[in-house]
Amino acid sequence: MFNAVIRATSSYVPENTVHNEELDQFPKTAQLLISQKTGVISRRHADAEQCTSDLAVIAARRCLERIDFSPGKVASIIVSTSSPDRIQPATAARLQYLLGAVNAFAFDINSVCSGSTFGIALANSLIRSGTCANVLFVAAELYSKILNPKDFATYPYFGDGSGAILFEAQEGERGVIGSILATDGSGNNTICVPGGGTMMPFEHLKDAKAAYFQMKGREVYDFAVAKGTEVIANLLENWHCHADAVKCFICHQANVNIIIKIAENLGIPEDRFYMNMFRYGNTASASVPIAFSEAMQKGLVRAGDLVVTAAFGGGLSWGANLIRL
Amino acid sequence: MQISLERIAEGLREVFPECGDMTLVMETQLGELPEWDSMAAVNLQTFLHQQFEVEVPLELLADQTTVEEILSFMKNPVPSEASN
Repeated sequence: MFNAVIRATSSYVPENTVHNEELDQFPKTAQLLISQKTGVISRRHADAEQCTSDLAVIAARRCLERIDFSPGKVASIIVSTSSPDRIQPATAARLQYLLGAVNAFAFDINSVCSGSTFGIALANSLIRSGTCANVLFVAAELYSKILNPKDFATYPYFGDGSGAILFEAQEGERGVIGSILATDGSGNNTICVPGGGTMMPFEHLKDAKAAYFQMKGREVYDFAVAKGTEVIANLLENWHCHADAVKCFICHQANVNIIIKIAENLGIPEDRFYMNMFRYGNTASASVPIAFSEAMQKGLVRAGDLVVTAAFGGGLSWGANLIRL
Repeated sequence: MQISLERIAEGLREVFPECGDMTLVMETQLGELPEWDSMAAVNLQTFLHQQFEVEVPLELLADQTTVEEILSFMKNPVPSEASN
């Protein structure tokens, strides 16, 4: 059986850097709380004319160019996004067109911030089942356009960006070793965009705020710490892997305090958890691929290393992957 | 803009649409509002600042703070160290 081996990674964040001090819709005293509560110092915002697939295609091109892989050879494209171009068609369709990946079938998945772990598991399944020789997984998010600029509970913490991972079928020891995915749908109201879908069509919106992303912060924090800890522990146990053997833990970059708490719960030094939310904020499902790519480019992880990815988010949903590079 | 219970209540309903038909009176505590937490406190602080140009210290916007206490502060604001 073939494994889904990572051939290349890449990322893209828009040039426009927005620092906390520039969020002058909030009082100065509140601005100071942003970094205290989450570690976020700045975030990137896309240009007004950019949409999610525009961010996706830049990361996708960079990923393929890194190993001189022709877009025409891409067999499948999975896009993870919870901030799509449009309700339909799939954001992946426009990405396929922009990329010129004419031989690839393309579709979206939406597991909100945990979409990266779901996408990696799905790419692995497509390759292991023999459906595809390769899968280009792209996570792209443009939250600056779905956030209420006046909502301190959400607006300061998120940023825009995209990350891409090219998986290819190969024999040997490398590749995705195992994944755990989970959903607790009883929490479907904890993180959501209430309006604009069939549950609350636009003509039934009582309040414009219902069209924006909403999140119950305290509940999310407790959930993320509990499930982030649990899923990593279970992943290592299921695949008989000691934490010391893992070179780097790449978690969803929601909040520095969540990652520190997960590290503490697991008894793993926090310096083995890659963190970049300070510069980019929470880029939802794109955060893991962006962090993964940065860790690769910095040489923090190399071919042969074991890496754990973990994410948690809307649904509620969570997941983790054990990968040998 | 004149500060009154009606105006504060209107603001609370705008910031917290989840209030719905909840009756807001002088004795209503912020902790009774649906979805109230420390982030919501900043949203209320932001709203009050934008509407009335008064920066209410976050320390005052606590669970037990009543609408009456907010109203009282806003009618006679005392600058806190944090807001200087």
